Amino acid sequence: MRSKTVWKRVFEISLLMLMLVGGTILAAAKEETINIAVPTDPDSFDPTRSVAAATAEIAFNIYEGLVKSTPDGQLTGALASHWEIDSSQTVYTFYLREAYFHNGTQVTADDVVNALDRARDPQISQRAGNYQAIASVHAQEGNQVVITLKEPYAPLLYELTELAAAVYPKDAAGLDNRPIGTGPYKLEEWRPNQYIKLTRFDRHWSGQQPFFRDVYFRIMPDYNSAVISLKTGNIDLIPRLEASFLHQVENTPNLAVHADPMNLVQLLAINNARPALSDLKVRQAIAMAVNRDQIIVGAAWGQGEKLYSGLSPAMPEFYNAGLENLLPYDPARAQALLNDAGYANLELTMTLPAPYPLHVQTGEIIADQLRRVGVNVRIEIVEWGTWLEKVYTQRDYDLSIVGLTGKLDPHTILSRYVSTNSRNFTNFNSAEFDRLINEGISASGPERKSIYDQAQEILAREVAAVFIMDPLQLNVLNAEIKGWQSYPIYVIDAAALYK
Amino acid sequence: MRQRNLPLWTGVFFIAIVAVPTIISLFCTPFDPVVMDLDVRFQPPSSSNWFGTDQYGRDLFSRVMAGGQTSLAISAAAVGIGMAIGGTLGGFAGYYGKRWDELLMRLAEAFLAFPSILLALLAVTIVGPGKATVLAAIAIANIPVFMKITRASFLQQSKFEYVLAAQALGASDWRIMARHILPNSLRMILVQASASFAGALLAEASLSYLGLGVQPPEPSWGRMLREAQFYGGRAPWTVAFPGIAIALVVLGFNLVADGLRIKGK
Repeated sequence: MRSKTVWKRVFEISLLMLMLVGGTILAAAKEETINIAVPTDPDSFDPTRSVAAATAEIAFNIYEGLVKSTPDGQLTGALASHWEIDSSQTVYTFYLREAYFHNGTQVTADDVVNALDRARDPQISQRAGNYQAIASVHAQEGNQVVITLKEPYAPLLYELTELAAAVYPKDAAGLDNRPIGTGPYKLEEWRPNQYIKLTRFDRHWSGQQPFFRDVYFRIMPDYNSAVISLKTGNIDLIPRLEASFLHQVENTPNLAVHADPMNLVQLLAINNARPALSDLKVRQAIAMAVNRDQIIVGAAWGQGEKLYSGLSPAMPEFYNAGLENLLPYDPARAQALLNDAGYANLELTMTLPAPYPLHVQTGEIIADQLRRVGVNVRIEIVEWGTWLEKVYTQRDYDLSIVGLTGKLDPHTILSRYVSTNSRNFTNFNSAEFDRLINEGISASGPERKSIYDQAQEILAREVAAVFIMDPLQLNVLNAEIKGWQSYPIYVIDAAALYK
Repeated sequence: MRQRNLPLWTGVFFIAIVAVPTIISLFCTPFDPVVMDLDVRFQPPSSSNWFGTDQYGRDLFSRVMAGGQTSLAISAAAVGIGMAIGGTLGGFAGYYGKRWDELLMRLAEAFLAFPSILLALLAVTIVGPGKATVLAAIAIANIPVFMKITRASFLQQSKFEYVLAAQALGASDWRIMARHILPNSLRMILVQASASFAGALLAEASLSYLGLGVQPPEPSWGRMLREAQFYGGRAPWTVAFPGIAIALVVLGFNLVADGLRIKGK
C-alpha cells in the first residue's frame, strides 16, 4: 500500500518535471518568434517588378539600398557608409561598407551598379520613371559607386531608399519569390496566402542581430480573425489595424495600441481620361460633393485628419495648408456645376479594393454623397490583384479609393501626377503642373517650398483626385513586445522589435 | 380522419413572416434602405427604427425588408431556371432512355461531382461579381439535381399501365409526357424545389457574404451579415436580424419540403 503511494508520487513528480522541461523548450521556441498579421500577400519580391506597398513593408527587412530612412524620416547610410556630393550637385560618390548578401557573397560595387542600372531601365523596372535623372552609374576603385546626374535632382537620395533601388547580387535570378538581399532578415519560406517566414541573417553588416530569430508575416485578410488571434496570443502585432476594430483592442490589459500619423494620402481617384470626367466642371462638382467629416466619422471612427492636398500634413515642411476653401463641401453648387456641364444624370462605376475595409467603406459613403447630387455610382468590389491590374496598371476605371503611401520627399509623392509618369493612374494632365514639378527637382530652400505649394494647389483646383484624409495608423501589439518604430514610410521594422 | 400537416403549415408560416414584409417593401419601406444618415449610426432597436440602424445610419428594418427582394428573387429565379432546364432534360432522359439517358446522366453526374460553391466562385472570377452571375451559378448548380429527380420519376412512370394505355391509343410522346407523366411526377419535383430553394438562399447569402454577390449599397441578407461582422460586438442587432431572416426562410422551406413529402405518402 505504502510503496504504491511512493511510486505514484514519483510518477507525478517526473510528469511535472517533464511538463516543466517541455514547457521551457516550447517557451524558448516561442520567445524567438514573432507573428505579424498582414492583409495581403506581396506581389513580387523582385525590386524591379513590385508595385504594392504590401511588398515594400516586408521587403524593408530583406533588402537594403545604398541609403535608408530612419524612423523620423532622415537619411542614414545602409550599404554605403557615407557619401559625397560635388559642388555641381550632379556627382554623388558612395563609399560601400563591407557587407554580405544572404547567399554569403560579398557586396561589390558591380552589384550596386547592376541593380541601379536595372532600376532605371524602363524595359525592366516598373519604377524606372523615378530614376530618369541618372545619367550613369559606375564602379570606382576602393569600393566606390559614382552616380552622375543629368542635372541636379534633389530627391535622388530619397529615391535610393525605395525598394526599387534595392541591391541584390548581379547574377541573381528568380527574385520574384527567392529574394536575396543584405537586410537583417532573409526569406526562409513563402506559402502564398498563408505566411511568409523570415529568418535572422547572421552576417548583417551592422554586426547586430535582431532579437527575434523567426518572423512570420501571416496573411490574414480578415481583421476579425487577426484581432482574435492577437487576443489569444497567436499573433503579436497587427500593423495598421482598421479603425473600426479599435474598440475591440482598446483598454485590453495585455495589448498596447500605438496611434501614429501615417503619412498616407487616402484619395478618391478620378480617371481624368474618361469622357465625362475629363470635364473640369464635373471633377470639381465631385470634389464639392464629398463631405470629409462624414467619411472620417463613418469609415475611420474619427481616426483621421482631413486632407485637401496630395501631400499629408505629416510632411509639415511642404504641406500646403491653405487649400481647404478652394472647393469646399457644397452639394448645391456641385449639382449646379453638373447641370452646367450637361451631366445632370451621370452614371459612374467605382472600383474598390476588397482587402481594405477603410477604402471600401469610404467608397460606400462617397457613393451615397454623390448620389445626392445626381451622380449614380455603381460599386464594384474587387480583389487586390484585380485592382492593381485594372485600376493601377491598365487605368480602366472611373472612380476608385486607395491610399498612396508616404514617401520622404515631396517630389516622389507629387511626380506621380505628371502627365507622362508611369504611376499617373489618374491620367491627370496639366502642363503647368508638369513644369512646376520639373522646376522643383533642382530648386532648394523657400523656392522649393513655394513651387510645391503651387503644385499642390493645381492638383486640388483641377481635381486630379479628391484628397480625403490621412488616417491615423493604429499599430496594435502584444504589450510584451517593445521597440515598435513608426516610420513616415510604409514599412515594418521587424529588426527593431524585442521582448 | 383528416390529419393536420404540421411541418407544411409551420413552414408556410415561417416563410410568410419574412415574405409578407418583403412583398410590402416592393411598394414602400419605413425608410429608404440605401440612403445614409451618419448622425444616427448604430442606434439600437427603438419605436422609430424597429431593428435599429447600421454603421451608416440606415434603417435596418427597411434593409431587411428590401434585402428579401434580392435574396428571395435570386433564389426563386435560380431554382425556377434550374427546374425548367433540369426537369425538361431529365424528363427526356427518363422517357426515352437509352443513349440520351446515358449521355445526360453522365453529364449530370459530372456536374454534381463539382462543388457548387466552387462553380460559383469560378463564374464570379470569369464574369465578375453581381446579381446575374450569382443567379446563373446557382441555377446551373441546380440543373443536374432536377435532371436526376425528374428522370427517376419519368423512368418509373413510363412503365406504368396508364402510360402504355395512352401509347396504345396513339397519343404523341409530347402529350404523354406533358399530360400524363408530368402531373404524376410533380409532387417529387416540388419537394425538391422547396429543398433547393432553401439551398439557393443559403448559397446566395454565402456568396454575398464573401463579397461576390450583390454589390453595395443594394441590401441583401448575406451582404448585410458581411458588413455587420465588423460591428457584431458593438451593435449585435446588425447581425441578428438579417441572420434571423435567413434562418426563418431556410427553415420554412425545409419544413415545406418535409410536409410535401409526408403528404405524398
